[in-house]
Amino acid sequence: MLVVPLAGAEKRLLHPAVPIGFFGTAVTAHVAAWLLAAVFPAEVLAAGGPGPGLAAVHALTLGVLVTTAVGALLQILPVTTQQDAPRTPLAALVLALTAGGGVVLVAGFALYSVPLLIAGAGSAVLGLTGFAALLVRLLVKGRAAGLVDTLPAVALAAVWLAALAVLALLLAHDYRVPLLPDHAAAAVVHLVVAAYGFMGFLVIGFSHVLVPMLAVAEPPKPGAGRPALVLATVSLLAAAGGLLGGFDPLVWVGLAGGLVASGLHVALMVKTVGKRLRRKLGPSFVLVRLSWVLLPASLVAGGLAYAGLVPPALFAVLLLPGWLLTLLLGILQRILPFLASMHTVRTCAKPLSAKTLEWSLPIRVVTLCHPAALGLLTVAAAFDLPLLARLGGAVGAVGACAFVLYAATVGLRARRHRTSVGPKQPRPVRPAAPPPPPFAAPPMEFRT
Amino acid sequence: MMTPSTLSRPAWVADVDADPAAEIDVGRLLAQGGDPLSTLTGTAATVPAGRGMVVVAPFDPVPLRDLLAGDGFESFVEPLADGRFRVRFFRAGGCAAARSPAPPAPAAEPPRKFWMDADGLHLDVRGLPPPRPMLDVLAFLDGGAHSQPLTVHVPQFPVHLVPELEDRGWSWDIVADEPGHVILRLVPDETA
Repeated sequence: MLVVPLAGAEKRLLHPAVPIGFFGTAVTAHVAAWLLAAVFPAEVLAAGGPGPGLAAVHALTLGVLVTTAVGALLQILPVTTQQDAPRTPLAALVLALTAGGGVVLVAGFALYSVPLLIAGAGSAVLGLTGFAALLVRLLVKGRAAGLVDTLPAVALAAVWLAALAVLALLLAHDYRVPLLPDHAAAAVVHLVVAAYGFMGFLVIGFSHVLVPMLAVAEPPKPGAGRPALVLATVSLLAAAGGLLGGFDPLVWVGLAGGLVASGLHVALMVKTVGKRLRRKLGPSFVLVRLSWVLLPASLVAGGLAYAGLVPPALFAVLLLPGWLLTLLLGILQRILPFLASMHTVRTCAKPLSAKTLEWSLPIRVVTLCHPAALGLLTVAAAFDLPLLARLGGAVGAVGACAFVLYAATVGLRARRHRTSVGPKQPRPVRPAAPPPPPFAAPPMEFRT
Repeated sequence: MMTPSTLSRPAWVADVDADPAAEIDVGRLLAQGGDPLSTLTGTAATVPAGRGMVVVAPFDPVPLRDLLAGDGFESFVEPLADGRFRVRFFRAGGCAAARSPAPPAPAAEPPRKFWMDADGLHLDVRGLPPPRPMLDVLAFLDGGAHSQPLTVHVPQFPVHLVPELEDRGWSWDIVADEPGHVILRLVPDETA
């Protein structure tokens, strides 16, 4: 579970501008992705490239998912492993290269400009390489923290990140000079490795930290996530190898293994949440639970699409705005006020509770709009209905705007609080307490 | 402290059962809206050396057993068929130094500590591996045995605990904020 070691927290927390930059980029790209879907619904359903369809996809993947993951990792890993956060200029450089590259890449796709596309991909890969370097350093220094389920998953995610980055560069340059024997197969592997590999392994790893933290529950026993992690690794290798080599049985083995691994992961999370002390899980867990359904659903859709029974767009919808974005919105709506609250502890005369920083109205809008948009897009993808996709994009954009409002409110309330109570002052040392009696309590049983 | 799982029934249990100085039903106290902990500690203060009292509770009252151990009481817990717990307290000699030493805490997990101070009950959860500090505080409050102000010693400001306290109707204030030791005063809203 996430610990908040605020003694010495100055070194473990990034400068507020860094998470604001990452999360600000993500929530803005979220709006852009849905708007692109609303404006170019036919292209989004076709999902070929280059074009506005892939621009929307990359606004979501690189703009929202990757940017959030990078920003969150650079902040959460130092806190959970009790080590110094990366230096601000380095984190800012990663942000500038990744987010800047993302904007150029999306523009390149939208404008059918191969040079822009290549430049954007190159910048983003440079940024992600810098991020990988910071990540490796955090992982090496954080080994002593004992996060036996989280750190191996994050380390494997870094390997998948390298693979997806190489594929991204090859795919981008393949538009200029043919390099790949099968562009479409490589693109599918890029999607699969990015979504199930990089993002998926981060989800597996950090679910052991974030889900118990948000549900206020005992974390799973150390090593409990290992079967899912091992199976997911083998399955993804099989699926990627099968797709690249055109060897169908390997793809099916990968799909089946992935389905079992997803079941193991979701079952562990459901069990963890079942033993929670938090009484009201709130709207965030509506989305988190929905994402737990969408993960196996995306794999089933992937199998059906591979068999030619459903359009590939259905698989992409259930995977990207489905599983990953739904989970991210559920988690991020809780993480933002907690991070802001941690900064009030560090900088304000009196800390402000995370609960006080939240504005529930926009979150209710997100909780309604996101599943509605997803439902519309799913039906549109299944039956190739661009008009429905346009409506889904519009509804999703409303939800995304509400999320921007929510995130901005968190920041503004934290800032207003600091103005109201003033900066942090050294607190008077408590008078010497009487020595505690020489007894100790045995572990308390939970009675929930 | 003794539990049926670790030790056999001591000889003094039969004496306490036969002639208790006091017998208290915690469930009834809770139903009446009273604060069991202060009632029980107050009653225990009247128990003379060589006598004991019986407490029936809907849970194993670990904090109470800790507190009374500091006053020279030994305790023995037995689960009842209806799910409640029958706890016998025996004041051995009235001198804490003379009583048998408490069993050592498990090596794997540093001990939590309860104690009474002039300002009420204190709970120290420093040194516990995360997320035990937060979970232990919430589990103690959720247990319902204590409805008076509580002073909590935590290793850092508990960002994740605070919203849960507010949800449960507890106000909080920072008493001290030192590296590795933050003290929070928790007050139930109705007494705030």
